[in-house]
Amino acid sequence: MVDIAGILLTGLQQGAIFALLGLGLTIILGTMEFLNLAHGALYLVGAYMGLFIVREVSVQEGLLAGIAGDPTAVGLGSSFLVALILTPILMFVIGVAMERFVARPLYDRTEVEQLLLTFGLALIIEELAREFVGSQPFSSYAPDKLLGFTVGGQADVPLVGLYPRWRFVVIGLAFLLIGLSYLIIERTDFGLIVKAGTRDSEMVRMLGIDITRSYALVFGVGAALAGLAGLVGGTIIDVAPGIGTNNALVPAFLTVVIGGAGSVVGAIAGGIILGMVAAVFQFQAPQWSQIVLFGFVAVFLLVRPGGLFGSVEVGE
Amino acid sequence: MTEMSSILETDGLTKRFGGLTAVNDVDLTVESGETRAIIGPNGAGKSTFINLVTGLLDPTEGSVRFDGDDITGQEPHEIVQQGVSKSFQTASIFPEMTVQENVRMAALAAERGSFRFDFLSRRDRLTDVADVAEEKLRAVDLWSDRAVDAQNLPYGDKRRLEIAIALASEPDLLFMDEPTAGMSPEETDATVDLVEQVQRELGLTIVLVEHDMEIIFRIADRIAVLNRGTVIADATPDEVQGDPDVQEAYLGGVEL
Amino acid sequence: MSDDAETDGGTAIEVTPEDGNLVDRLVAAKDGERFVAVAAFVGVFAMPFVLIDVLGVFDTLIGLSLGGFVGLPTLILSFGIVAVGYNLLLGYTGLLSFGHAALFGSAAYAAGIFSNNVVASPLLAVVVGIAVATLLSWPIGFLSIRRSGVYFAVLTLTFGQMLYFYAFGPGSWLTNGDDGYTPFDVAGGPDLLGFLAMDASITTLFRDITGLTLTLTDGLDMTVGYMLAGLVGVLAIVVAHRIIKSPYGLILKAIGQNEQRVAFVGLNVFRYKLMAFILSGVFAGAGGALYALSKAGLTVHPDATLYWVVSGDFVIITAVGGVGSLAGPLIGAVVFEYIRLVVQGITVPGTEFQIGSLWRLLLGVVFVVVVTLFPDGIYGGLSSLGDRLVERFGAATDADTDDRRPVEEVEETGGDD
Repeated sequence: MVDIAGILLTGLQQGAIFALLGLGLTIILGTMEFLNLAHGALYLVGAYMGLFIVREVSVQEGLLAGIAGDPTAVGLGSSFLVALILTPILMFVIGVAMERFVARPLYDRTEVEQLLLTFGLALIIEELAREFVGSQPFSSYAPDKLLGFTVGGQADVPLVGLYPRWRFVVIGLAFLLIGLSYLIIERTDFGLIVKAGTRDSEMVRMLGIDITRSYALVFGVGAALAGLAGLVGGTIIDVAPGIGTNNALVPAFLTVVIGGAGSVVGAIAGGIILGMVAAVFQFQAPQWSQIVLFGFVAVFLLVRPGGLFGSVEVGE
Repeated sequence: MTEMSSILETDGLTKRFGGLTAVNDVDLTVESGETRAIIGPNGAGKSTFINLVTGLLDPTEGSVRFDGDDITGQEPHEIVQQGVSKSFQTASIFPEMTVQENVRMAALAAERGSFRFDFLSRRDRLTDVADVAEEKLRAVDLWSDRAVDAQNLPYGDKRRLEIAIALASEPDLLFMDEPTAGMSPEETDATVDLVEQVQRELGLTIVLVEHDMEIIFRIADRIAVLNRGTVIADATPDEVQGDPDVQEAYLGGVEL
Repeated sequence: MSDDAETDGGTAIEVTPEDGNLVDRLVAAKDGERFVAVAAFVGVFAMPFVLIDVLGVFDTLIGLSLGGFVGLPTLILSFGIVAVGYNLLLGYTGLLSFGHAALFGSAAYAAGIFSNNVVASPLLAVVVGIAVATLLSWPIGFLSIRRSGVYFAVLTLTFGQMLYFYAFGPGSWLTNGDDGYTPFDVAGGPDLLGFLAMDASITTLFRDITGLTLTLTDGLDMTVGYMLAGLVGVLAIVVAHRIIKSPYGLILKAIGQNEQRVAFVGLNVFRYKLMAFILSGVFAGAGGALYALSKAGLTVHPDATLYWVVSGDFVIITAVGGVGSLAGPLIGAVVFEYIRLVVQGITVPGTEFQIGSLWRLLLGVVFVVVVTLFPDGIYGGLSSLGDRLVERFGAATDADTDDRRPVEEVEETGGDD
């Protein structure tokens, strides 16, 4: 059926974003055993950041209203590229700051307290967004042209029919980022620490590796990944304050659950699986899609709590 | 006859973690009323063995019989209800509850079983629970501290509280995992006296894991020596002392 | 046993009722069941007066609309009752559930559906709500408790969301989905016990019976509906207190502090955790049913009852008010609903500045601040202040002498109510 290819593509595209989200969450979870419920808020910030850098939309509500402009979302290719470069850098800085001021005081606290406080932080960030920007959703800011190529509109793809071009870009972009992250983790010293940390964070600490710097790095990278996911996601879905939890935090956690806490490969695999399952049901039985998705994860949690590749015993 | 007086019997007890065999084909018997010691260098599998017997771990092979009943693979709380208790190596107490409440927890379980629906009955009416708790606290000399929050006790007192909790389960068999670790000489003596006294008065069977050889020789009736998961000696203290295998295992370690 | 059988609790400093001064005796008495029942009764039925009338004074005095509206106390009770039960799970047993909206919401819908299809009896509706929530909490709890920590939380969240999306979508034949469900859709409102109109107030009843007109302030002129809610609330508080004073109170607290040790004294931890979950479900059901009652003739919507944000609200209420205490969750409910519903409408006098939608932000900040600085919540903070005052003004001495006959149960106050 023609639909299958379309489902596969959409599943891949969603899955790629989920994978990015899960990746960021899992490296923080694995290295520092820190449960960051504010991860979705980082996605949110990334999405809004992209929005503003692209800067073709005007803010009509909230405290920043007054920037005159059209409430249309027409992005130039170049501003998107700028966003692509700036967003991870800014998010990295935010991540490092978050590690220093939010995570570090909480490392010794109980799990419940970590969950509660990061949940509170996520709430505050979401509400700040609502206050400063307004709760009206901004339609996606996908550019029409990128580097000279036409990326807007739909292409006639064999087997699928008409399919939005931009989604191909998203798939390519997301997998490029995933690949980059994977390489970094496999090939660099930083990555070694992440891997060692996800195997045995106690050990890493005891080995006297400058753990505070590493933690800051890991958090920064995790935040950058979340922000990138938000940037990319913001080109597909409407950007509104609620997306932090609905479109980001929940899928991020579900991805980590499926893939296994602390596993990089797991986050990638888990994200794609989740994206596929979601896409299948969105097409076939949209009313049931969310229910089945959550049910699927529940079953996973009950049957394979360690996920597919998990190594860190979090919460056991 | 030997079947009846053996309160604990393990048969081919084995535990493998992936490639590592922590406990290897251990056959051990404990006679009712005796004080049994298990010693061995670090990593010999002593703690794993205790965890197998007390239900925290499921064995890969082998079985455990307590008082004639097969308890292999049972849940810890079921095993405790049958009469086995354990005092932990690190003082495993309830930090934000008073000393009295700590011990009452164990007494509650001993008097009322592993589960009840009594969420509407007043616990201050349970006099037997209170009495058992008082008795054990007095036995370890912590009665005067009964209103103190457990986390505020000095470490030695925490260990004694730990023992009181284990005793309040009114066990027939008590495992003690390094009960005097971290104690001063005076506290150690007091604890050993307590163990002897408790055993005399209550007819407890005690299985002791210890590193302190003086204590072992003072109170143990029989010693089992573990090395790398296998029993390399199982005899009276004197016999074990002279055993060349044991001495080799301890080379560079504790002197006998 | 102590002579005074009512005094089943005490301070950390041992006091027999015969000695110690009035302050000590008051403190000792405050754990007694009668005291709790009376205090709950007074608190519940004085609340409308305080919130509506006393605070309403500021409206006329300085133009600051601090007063609550008439429906506020009922909402506070609805959420407060849920929080009291939720506290058993979070504050005592240490299980963080993000799915209690499922229990609350299903009770609300069940009560509403029952009222429209079977009989429009408020009392029965409360019973139905409790029954449905309790039944639902069994499988949800059974499956979720198999995992601990964040996985437990995620499991409860997933079950809650499954229910939410069901109510929103495939289940909308039952729930009306996005349009919302109207509970107690009976002409003139539901009747309690068949003859008392739920929205009849004291003054109307008085007039019906005696023909005379009684003048009462808004806060004192309670409706039958509020009186029902209030009684349910008092009952809930007394039951919760009973549970806390039962073996469960000690066992659940112990599980929250050292689960493994509890297993090793011979208790079936899984079953007790499950019981804690189910008991919290009972309270959630009562709260949900009361919520539906408060929405008689209006609408109950999945977003306000079943959505995970509502679960988060319960967490905030309990954490801000004070985990591990009886009064804490209630204080939390008052604070939460007050900020949500009253603070929103406040305009800073002399300016044009309306707090408006900032309320959630304010709530979030309060939440973070409280949890960081006062892990025992507002009640915990007040309680330690109270402890220090008692030490200063109480006459009790140390419990070192053995020749004193001890009080029955010696427990530490401050978070242990």
